[in-house]
Amino acid sequence: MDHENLPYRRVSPRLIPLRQINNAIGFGIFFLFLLIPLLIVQFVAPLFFTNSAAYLLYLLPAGVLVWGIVVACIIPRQVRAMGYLENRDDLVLRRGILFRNQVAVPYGRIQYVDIHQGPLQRAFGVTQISITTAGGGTASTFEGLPMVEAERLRDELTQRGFARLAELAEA
Amino acid sequence: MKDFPHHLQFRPVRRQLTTYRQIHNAISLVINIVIFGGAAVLTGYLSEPGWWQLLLYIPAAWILIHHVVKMFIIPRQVRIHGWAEQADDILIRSGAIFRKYQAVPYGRLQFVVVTQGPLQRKYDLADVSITTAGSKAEILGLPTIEATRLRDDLSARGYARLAGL
Amino acid sequence: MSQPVQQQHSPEIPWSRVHPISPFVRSWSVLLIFGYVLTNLSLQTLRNIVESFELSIGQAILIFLGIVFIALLVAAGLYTIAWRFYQFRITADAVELHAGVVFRRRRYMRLDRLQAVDIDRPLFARLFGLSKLSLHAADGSEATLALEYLKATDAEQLRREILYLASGAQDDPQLDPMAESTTSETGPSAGHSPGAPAANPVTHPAAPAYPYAEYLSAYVQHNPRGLTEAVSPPPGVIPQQITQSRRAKNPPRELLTIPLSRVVGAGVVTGLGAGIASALWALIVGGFVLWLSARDGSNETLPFLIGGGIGFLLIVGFITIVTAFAQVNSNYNFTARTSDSGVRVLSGLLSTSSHTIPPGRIQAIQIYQPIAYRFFGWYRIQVSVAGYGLTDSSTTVLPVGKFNDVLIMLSVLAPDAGVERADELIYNALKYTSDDDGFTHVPSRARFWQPVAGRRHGYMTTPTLLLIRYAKLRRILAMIPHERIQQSTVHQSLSDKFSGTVSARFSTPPGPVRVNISNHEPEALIQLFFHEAEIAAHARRIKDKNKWMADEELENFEKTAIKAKAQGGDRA
Repeated sequence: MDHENLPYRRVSPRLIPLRQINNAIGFGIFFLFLLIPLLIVQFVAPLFFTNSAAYLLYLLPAGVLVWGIVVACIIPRQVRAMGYLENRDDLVLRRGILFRNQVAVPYGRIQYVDIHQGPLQRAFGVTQISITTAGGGTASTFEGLPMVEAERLRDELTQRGFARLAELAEA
Repeated sequence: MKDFPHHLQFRPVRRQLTTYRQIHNAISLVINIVIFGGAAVLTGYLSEPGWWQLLLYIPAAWILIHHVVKMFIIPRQVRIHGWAEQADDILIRSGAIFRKYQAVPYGRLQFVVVTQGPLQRKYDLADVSITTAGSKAEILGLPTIEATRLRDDLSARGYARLAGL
Repeated sequence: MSQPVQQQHSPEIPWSRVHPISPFVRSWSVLLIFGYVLTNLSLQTLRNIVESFELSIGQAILIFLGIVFIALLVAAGLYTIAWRFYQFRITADAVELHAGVVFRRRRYMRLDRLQAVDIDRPLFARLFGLSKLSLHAADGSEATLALEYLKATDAEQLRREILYLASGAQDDPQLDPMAESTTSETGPSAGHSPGAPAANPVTHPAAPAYPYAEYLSAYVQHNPRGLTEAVSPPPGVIPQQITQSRRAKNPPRELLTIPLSRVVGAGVVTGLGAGIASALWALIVGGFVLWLSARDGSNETLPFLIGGGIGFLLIVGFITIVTAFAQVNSNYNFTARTSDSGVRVLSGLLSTSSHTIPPGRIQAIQIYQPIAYRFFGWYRIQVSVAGYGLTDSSTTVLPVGKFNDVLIMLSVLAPDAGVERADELIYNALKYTSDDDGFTHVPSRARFWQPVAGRRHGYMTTPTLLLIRYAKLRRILAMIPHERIQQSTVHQSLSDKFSGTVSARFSTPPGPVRVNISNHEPEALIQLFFHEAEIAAHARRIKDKNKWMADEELENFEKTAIKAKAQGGDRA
């Protein structure tokens, strides 16, 4: 979606290696989870494999592997496509290349802001910020801001609501 | 709902939404038929033959009917679907057979989400969803520029009318 | 709150931790696990375990106690680490939390977002004189910030402070307790509410926007306190003294207590209901088993019947007692109070709890009469509060009350209905159904789709409320202030298609109150849809605000709304 010319801020590039690791772990587990039982069956109960069609089952872990590699190739672009924009009235979060998604949260609607940091995220110096609005809706979680920037954004978000309201009233 | 006032001017969504949704529907049909039909054929092949094997095809048949009916309804749904930005709220009309009208006061909106998939981008379509503290309303198939404009306007108007929750 | 913690980040306001013995109190829950395991193992299994290790009984007990002790130590250690990393502070306008050892979490919540404050004293904590303080923002059911545990007096002090800060009273010099004496004749009226419309004539709703005008005039007549919160009343309508009386602090007042006899009665009745329901299930299952055994050809049905009968009675008795006790335990000594910080309900026998809902946080109200309550003329009141979401215990603000109690609670929960004899209206709405009771009815052609509720399902509007009546055996009356409606929807379902009717839904934040109207005459319901859409767009400005004691905020809303309306008009 356009808006390409608007001054969106990008997230930290260190999110790329972090996501690569997460992706490798996630798909790795999935891959082994499919592969190991197959190997066990093949070598422990070889009867099943007399039918050569059974070998087709290996397509499953192979597919997962390919899928994981495809995702790994997309990750750098995905991270570069993530951005946020502090508008006059709202914060806009943007993400996705194929499936694009933009969330606009008016500053005054923010109930509270959380900043999370797991061990791996800490190692890469990034955080995950999540913005909660009323009615049990987490408007958006957004990964990849350094702690300092996340705290600045949070303060900005919570203060802006009121500054903007006062400004509107005076005008 | 004949009783709904006619004087309200609803802005229509893009006509290309029909094309997009038909393609989407067709793809979904093919995938589902392959999965469910394939499963039925496979089970039938592996098990003992009998009249009951016909039952295996019920899910596939249901999916086929569902998608075919949808194919006929989609053009009407798209024609009906539209929105009207009023002074204090936005009205959304949807549903070909089961008509639905939603009114969301600007001051109630919590956040706006704009989404666009690859196929939608080809037809310049974007979906806008408006979330309040207790509900969600969607407008599907706006031109991208219009969706962004609506998002900004909704935010700004919501801001100006902000109160309480 | 004890132990200020130094932090370089923002030295002005120190960080605090919860009470240092909290980790130990929390680790007691480990005992429950052991208790559970013990009670669930049969004596034979225990003996087998002991024998397999070739131990004497004494040794076995010693070892068991040792294991429990070590588990307690480990739990206490873990909780202590968690405790060290759980720091909070309350600044002038926000609550901040830093928590987590491995996965760190920082939460920042503005105090004007506060929807409810609870103090709970679970039995264990109570033994140590500790309380749990929970703050709720409008995020559903879980507490946004839970302080487990604080010294009971600290918790209450903190609650007072938070409510004071959240109310915005300190932003309003007229309400500052330090400057209480300055509340004088010149004070509020000059800069505040009545001044605004005079300065800005656009505010005056002279335009025949019909529901709004009607709504406002009803407000003037019936809700003087509510009206002073409005910034755009027609000029000259509010008498000066009302504005003044608003300034006077609203002294804490006890609304009602529920006598023990009624708490026990309701507990027994509810317990019996639950017991009978489960017994019916047991009967069905038992009957099925009996039928199966009879089919087998075994003729020993008599012992089966006797055993079944005893089991049946045991089930009924057990479930009745457990449910009744749970009810009595949570509703014992139920008290409702009102003050400047809103409505507060307190109750509990072994574990006590107190819920405070500040003004303007109640989204919808429901008077509910379970079948069992009908014999005694009792009612229950439940509210939707955005901070509580669907949690059952917090949303019940009157567990069992006579109709008079209902009225007392409504006087603080709901805006004035804006009609003559609102009490009569509500009473009749709950108790009787007639063609001319003011409520709409499901038209006879759609009665098929409402076989039980039938004619009883319908709605009615008063200047301030939308009332919806459901159900026939139980009785439910939902009340939703117009300005609380988040979204209006009118639609046609399959049943509507058949009978030529329509249905509507008026969304409110998640809670126990549903606002759905099914199978009604299209014309009237569509009119209601527009009516509510219009009121929801305008009227919320009268009542809705975050800081309930500060007038400026509302004025700002009003001004921006006017501007927005002008802009919106350009666009639309």
